[in-house]
Amino acid sequence: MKIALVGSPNCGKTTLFNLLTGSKYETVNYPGATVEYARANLRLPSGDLAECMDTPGLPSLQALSADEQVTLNALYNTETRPDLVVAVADSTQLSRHLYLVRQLQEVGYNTLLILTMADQLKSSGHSLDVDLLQDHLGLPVLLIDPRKSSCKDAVLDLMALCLGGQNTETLVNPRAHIAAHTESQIEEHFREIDRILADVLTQHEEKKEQWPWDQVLLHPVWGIVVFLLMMTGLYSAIFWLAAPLTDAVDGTFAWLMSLMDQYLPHSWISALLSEGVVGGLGAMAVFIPQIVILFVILGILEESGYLARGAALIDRPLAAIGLNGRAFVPLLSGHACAIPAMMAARTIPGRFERLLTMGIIPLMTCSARIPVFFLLVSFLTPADSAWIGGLAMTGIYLLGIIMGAVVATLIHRFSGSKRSDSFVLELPALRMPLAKVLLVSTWHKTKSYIQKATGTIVIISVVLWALVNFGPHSFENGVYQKPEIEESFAAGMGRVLEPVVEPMGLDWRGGVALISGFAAREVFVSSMALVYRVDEAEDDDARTQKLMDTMRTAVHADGSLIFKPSTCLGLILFYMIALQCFPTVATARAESGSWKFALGQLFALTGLAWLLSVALVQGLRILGL
Amino acid sequence: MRLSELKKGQKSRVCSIQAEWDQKRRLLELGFVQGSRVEFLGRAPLCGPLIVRCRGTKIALRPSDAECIAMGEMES
Repeated sequence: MKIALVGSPNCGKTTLFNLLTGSKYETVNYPGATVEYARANLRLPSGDLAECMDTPGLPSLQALSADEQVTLNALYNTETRPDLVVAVADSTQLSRHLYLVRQLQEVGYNTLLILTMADQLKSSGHSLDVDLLQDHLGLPVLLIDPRKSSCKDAVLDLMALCLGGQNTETLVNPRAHIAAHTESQIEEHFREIDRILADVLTQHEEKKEQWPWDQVLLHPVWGIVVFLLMMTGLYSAIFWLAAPLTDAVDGTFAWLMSLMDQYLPHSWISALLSEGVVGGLGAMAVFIPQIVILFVILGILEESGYLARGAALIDRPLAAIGLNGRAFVPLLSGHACAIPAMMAARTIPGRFERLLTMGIIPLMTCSARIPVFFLLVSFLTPADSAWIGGLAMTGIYLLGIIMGAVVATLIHRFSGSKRSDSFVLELPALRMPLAKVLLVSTWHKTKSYIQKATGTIVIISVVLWALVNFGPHSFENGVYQKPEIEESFAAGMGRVLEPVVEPMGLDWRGGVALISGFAAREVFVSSMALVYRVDEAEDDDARTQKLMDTMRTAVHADGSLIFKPSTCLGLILFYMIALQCFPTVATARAESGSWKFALGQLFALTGLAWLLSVALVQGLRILGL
Repeated sequence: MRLSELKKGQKSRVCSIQAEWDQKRRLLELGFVQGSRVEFLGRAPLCGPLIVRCRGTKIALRPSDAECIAMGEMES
């Protein structure tokens, strides 16, 4: 038996779902789609198991955004159609939330209604006659506070009772029926809701709104100050708070690899396992601390209701580049990692705006680029004045945002695509987030990110390992012999690519490092160490120092220095723009449902990066740098 | 009179919406139906969206959206 929780955005549905399932649920994809929903098995009082699914918030049964569309498919299709719809509505928002409930009844679902926020209804000075509302609507109604675990049994009892009912399948095509609603039908629904509420809702006393936080959060000056403080806090947390954790993860994987080297028999297979598989997993795992912190903070901002205010605040600047306030969260997340950022773009209603947002997400400086920029910036700036390096890093971040803005503006100006410039967003009441709900949802989001990314990253890491560790002559006498780097397949590819990277000031070795960066951008640094034959060092700092010393003396075949300032600046520019990350391409394909978009984005951004980088390097060379 | 012409603190009721059907339907389903009481609360910073209260909820909407909504007599 299937039960679906359905409700308007911000109705308290997720809190209820967590209460019912004891926060034990799994996130799964809708059939044939990448949109996820949460699913759990519920034990009913009768002892029966029922499959319960949570759905994204729906303002109405007429879909606007991609995730709403997929949710509706699951509700309408006969195979996935729920046997019971648990409609959820905020009891302080009945005059709007009952609209969806009436649509659900109209389609003929076997429905029961759970009203949330009983505490807030009471403190707002209202009382609700639940029995009378039940009579008016003709369906079972329960008023609860889902933040209190005591109400769980009452909900389960009612659900068990209602599962006996049937969907009334009178409509041949419910989707078309809802889509055909006219203005007067919608207005009639709202008039009917007003009539019912006049009957069941009584106001005892006029209560003032709680402290008017919005006077500050949306104040012309203080609003911006708070916004900037929040963003600074978010970035600081992602970088400073995550740093020790990232180091710990890095250390753990290095230790694992050294253990494997020590105890596994020496052969290419164990090297493949240790360097290729475990190394590849480690390359992904180092980002987990940052991603967890990002999910926690975004969760706090979302649950508290601030995120919607932030989106309203940033809407005007984003409108100037063809986007709207809803692109705020995806673009913000892009500074940690493009993969969860692209997933966050699902809530943007218009397809053009959604793709445009996804298109510029890779231009935001993601955390995988930090090791690369760190290496190049430290190489370029004198060691005794660290502030120049800090300034340069800030500049790189700002430049990434500016470039995203320029690209978005150009695309939306020249695409001629018909867009609506509409932006309407509900600002939910501000409230304290629940720690448990927050942690559970962070856990699930992180798990789903790891599941999505692991396969691709391990495969690419193994392939790249093989390219470096095998060559045309490695099995000549029937025994594996590790080739010198010059004789590996990777070097062969590097030489083929040499004409492409040569204008960027690099030789074939730089080409190899750039290719390997496609597994994950930060692999560039370890590949550089490999192709420039930097000896093993005890820790990261010593390795970076050794690599920089090697880079200072590395020369082209004609004896000229490779890493001149022009080459390094060109590399920085290339890394800012190029879509050098296969996991992101895979995500773009899955989210857009289009290879054309994903590959177009890959070639457009990487091509643009190459052109601009070559122009910069050649220009600087004329200036003698 | 349009919703976009209301001043801070002013209240009025929705008369009608003049927009393409998709946009109109979205506004209707958010509760901007004939007779709904709307209070203008202010404007988001940086000349951003208008903040109004409609049917008990705060809603941010662009001036271009607010222009589509025709309002009735001002209430005190």
